[in-house]
Parts: sequence; structure tokens; C-alpha cells
Amino acid sequence: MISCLRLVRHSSAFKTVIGNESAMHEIEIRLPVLMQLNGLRTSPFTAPVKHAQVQQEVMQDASEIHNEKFTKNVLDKVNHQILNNQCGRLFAVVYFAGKQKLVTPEDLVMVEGVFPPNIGDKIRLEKVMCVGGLHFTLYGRPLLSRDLVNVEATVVEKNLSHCRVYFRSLRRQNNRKTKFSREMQTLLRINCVDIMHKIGEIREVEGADGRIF
Amino acid sequence: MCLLWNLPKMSSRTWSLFWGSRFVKTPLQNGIGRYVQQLQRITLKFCKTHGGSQGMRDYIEKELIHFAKENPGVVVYVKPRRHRSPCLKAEYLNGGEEYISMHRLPADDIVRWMAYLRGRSGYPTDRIRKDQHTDHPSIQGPWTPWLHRDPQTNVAQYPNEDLSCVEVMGRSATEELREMFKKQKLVSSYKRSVES
Amino acid sequence: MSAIRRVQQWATFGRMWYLYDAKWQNPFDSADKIKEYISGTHKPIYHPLNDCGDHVVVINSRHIALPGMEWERRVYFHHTGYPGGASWTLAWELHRKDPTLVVRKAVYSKLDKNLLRRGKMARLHIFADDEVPNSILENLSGQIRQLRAVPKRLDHYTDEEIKSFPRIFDWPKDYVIPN
Repeated sequence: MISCLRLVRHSSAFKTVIGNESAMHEIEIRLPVLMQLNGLRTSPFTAPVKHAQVQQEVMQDASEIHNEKFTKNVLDKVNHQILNNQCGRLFAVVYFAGKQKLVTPEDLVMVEGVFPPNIGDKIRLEKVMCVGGLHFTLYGRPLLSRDLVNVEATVVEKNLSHCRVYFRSLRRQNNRKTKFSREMQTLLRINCVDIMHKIGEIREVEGADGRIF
Repeated sequence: MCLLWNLPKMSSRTWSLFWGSRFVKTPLQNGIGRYVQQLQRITLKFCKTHGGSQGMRDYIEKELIHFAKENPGVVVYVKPRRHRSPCLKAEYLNGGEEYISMHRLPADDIVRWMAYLRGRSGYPTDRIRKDQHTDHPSIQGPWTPWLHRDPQTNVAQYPNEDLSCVEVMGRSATEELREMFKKQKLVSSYKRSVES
Repeated sequence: MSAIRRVQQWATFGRMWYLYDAKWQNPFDSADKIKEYISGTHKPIYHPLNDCGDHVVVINSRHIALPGMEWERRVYFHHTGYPGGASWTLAWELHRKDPTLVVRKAVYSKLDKNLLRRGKMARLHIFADDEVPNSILENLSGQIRQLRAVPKRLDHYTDEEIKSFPRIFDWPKDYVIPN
């Protein structure tokens, strides 16, 4: 209300003492007119902006059509290879134990540090970043769908590394520390890298187990 | 470990020569097709009376039966001998052997050392040079300097102006100005033609 | 090694020859780029123990452009080893003595300081002008792009081009253009 009163002070219409009921009533009535005087102050009300109605039309680019054709052609070729089992040996870049590894079937991969699986266990490496054959490569952004690629591995060996010596000394300070440590090393044998279905195909089962893409 | 205490005077080169090194490997392509456990025999040696074997005696009483049940492919020997410190001896499928002293170790530690011996492949512990091994190093073919190269570089005459100059992104102010001038000229000539 | 594997080896480790035109280029920035090629770090097969550097032929080293006041301010130090044998040479003096030296020293100082440095420098061929022996020209298989556009001087434009160039305003008729 104070701000209203301030507005009123500038106008010649102000006659009555503040607190008088009739004066307050008058202020309320005159408000819209008084607002106009308040151009230099932040106005408490802004009229809604009317946007001009624009008719938009989607223009198909000729090169876009060409690109689509090209993409479809490439996808068809890759799908043909996948369906007829002509990919040959596949490789994959898998992310596990904090590292990216390029693997192909019958590879040996060593994981250093704590790794729970035990010897003889078969595990599936699910974070696949890239998979490819002789003629094509599929990249995930950053990961490929879990249903698309199947990379399996067997734990072949669980061992401790050789004894590493961490030796520190400061000269002439009588300061020496020697530490010995043996880390856990797990050796994995990659059993298979497979592409499970056609690319560009959305399966009905996808998202069923609570995953969000 | 007492012996190792004096060793850090070695240079790292001598150190690695002393211990040896190897690449990752498994005996007999283990894991291709099926997995075969490499530990074949394990012998637990201990004394029935000495305190140093107390942990080992506890282990044999409480834990050994579980180990034997979980690993039906491993032959377990228990060998009491008088007044000698306890030890574990493991023998592997590839002929490798490992002997660890269990003197004065509690039963919990022996559980861990048994698990360690169970997971090994029988090769001696060496420094591992690379954490990966593959028989197929390249599937799409090795890289060459000509891979993904613009073929016109093969037939170009050097020095070549086009291949040397900077690739410009966008137009310079001069080009912009020229364009404007050209447009202006067109407009003015059109106006003149209309007027006449 | 089978014949195919042998050819594969040649292809992967083949040394390429690249040309670099140093005309109007900053030699110190160019050295960063040349360094990659002669030490092989631009290749995916790079490894410090892997001798895979390429040859770089630098032409027009006489026409390099030093930034700012560098021609007068940059000093090259040399000491003969005898007492009083220290000498300081300004960049413009050095350039007048041998127009390839500024580039050579720039690349040399940018390379890693180890035993491979001399070997890498042997793969750098610098020529003061654009005259390169034919034996080297025929090896070339690529060209490194320059870092900056070479500016075009007014006297390099033809009269016609100058006349047709748009004028923002006209000089007053009595205005004398100072030379």
C-alpha cells in the first residue's frame, strides 16, 4: 500500500488525509491511471506480450533424403552380415574394473585389484562401448545396448602379484620406510563376443527390467 | 621378508632381473571350451603337540572339511609330523609346486592362504609385463600411414598451394564487404534501369 | 616372416616425407607442429621405444615471421668454452648469417632432451627458399598445413583488382595522400 501512496503524492487528484476511508477508496479507483505516471519505477504489472502467429513449415532438404538413403543402405549391409553370420571374428571395447579393454574371443585379460568373481565363474561384461568386425564398427554413445552385444568371460586364475617393494628414504634424516604389497590379480578368458540381433531394431523386451535409456 | 630388508639397495633393473618377468598366460588354453581347476593336490603338514601348529590344528578341526567339500577335484593330504613347524604344499596340473610356511598363523589366515593356493595356475609368481594377451592383435588390419588419407595427396604436385594453406572457417571481413558492395551495385543498377 | 607380413611391416613403419611451407609463419609455433611429425607422435602406433618419426622438409625459412619485437629482442647465446668466449647473437643477426638456423634451433629446443634428439633432427630438412633438390621432392607424400594465412601485399594485387575493390568513401579532390 505504501508504494501506492507514493504514487498518489505526485498526482493532483490527492486531496484527503491518509487513513481516511474515502481517500483509500479513491486511490483504489484511480490506480490504473496513476500507474502510467510511474514509468521510471519498476512497474508491478506487465501486460502480456502478444506474439505474432507464425506459420511454420518443415522443409525437406534434398541432401537429408540422400543421407537417409545412404544410412539405410549401410545399415542394411551390416544387418545382412549379422543375420547371415558373416561378420567373422568380432572385437569389442569393454569397460570394466575402471578400464577400457579391447578384446576378442580367446583373449586373456588381467584385472588388478579387488575383483569378487571366483575361479571357474562365468561372467558377462555388460558395459560394451564398441563392437566391430572386419567390415564395420558399431560405437555406443557411450555404451551399446545391453541386449545388442554379448561378451562373456571365464575367470581362469586368481592370484597375488609378485611382491612389490615401496621404499622411501630421506637422506641424513634417519627416515626410512619400506612397504611390501601383493595385489590381487584375476585372469579372465574372453569366451565370446556376439551381436545378438539386428541393429536399428527396438525389441519389445527392452526396458522391461527397469532400465531407462 | 628379513632377507628382503637389505635388498632395496638394488637398482630397479637388477631387481627385475632377479625376480624375472613374464606375460600373462594360462596352461593348456584353460578356459577355452571349459575351465579345469589347476590345483591337484594339497598337503597340510603340522605337529600334534607344538604351539606353532595350533592354528593349523584348529583349521583342520573346523575348516578343512568345508574346503574339501567345495573342491572335489583336489586331493587333500593331512600329514602330522613330530616337532616341526606347519606348512602347506600345493601341487598343480602343470607340475608347479608351492610351499608356504604356516608357523604360528591363526586358522583365519590359513583359510586365506588355502584360497590363494586354490586360485593359482601353478606358474611361478613373476612380474607381469602386460595385462593382456591376444593371438589376434588386429581384426580390421594394422594401421598404415595411408589409411583414411585423401587420395589427391598421392597425385598432387609439391609444393602445393591448396594443401598448404590454412583451412578457413567462415568469411573474412574483406569478403563480407565485397559481397555487400556487389549487392549494392546490383540494387543501384536495378533502380537506375527502373528510373530510365 | 611371410611375404604378406613383410609388406605389412613395411607399410606400417614406412617413413613418410612431409613438406612444410614456413612463409610468414611463426617458427616457434610451427616447431610444435613439426616436432610431432619428426618424433612420430602423430601416429597411432607411437611408442617412445618405437622409431616411427617422419621426415619434414621445411621451405621458405628465409621468409618466417617472428612475433612482436622478437627480431630485435630474441637473443641466442653461445659459449666457446674459453674465458671470455661468451657471445650473444640477436635473432636478426643469426637470420642474416644463416636463414635456416632460427627454425632449426626452434625445433631443436622443442624436442625432448634425450639421446634420440639428434636422430630426430636428422629427419628435418630446412631450405631457405622454395628451391628443393629433386631427390627430395620426389620423396614427398604430403604437406603439413600452415598455421596462419599468408597475408597478401598491396603490390601483389593486379591493377584491375585494386580498381574493382569497393571504396567506403571518396577522398576529397584536394587531399594529398602522404607517402
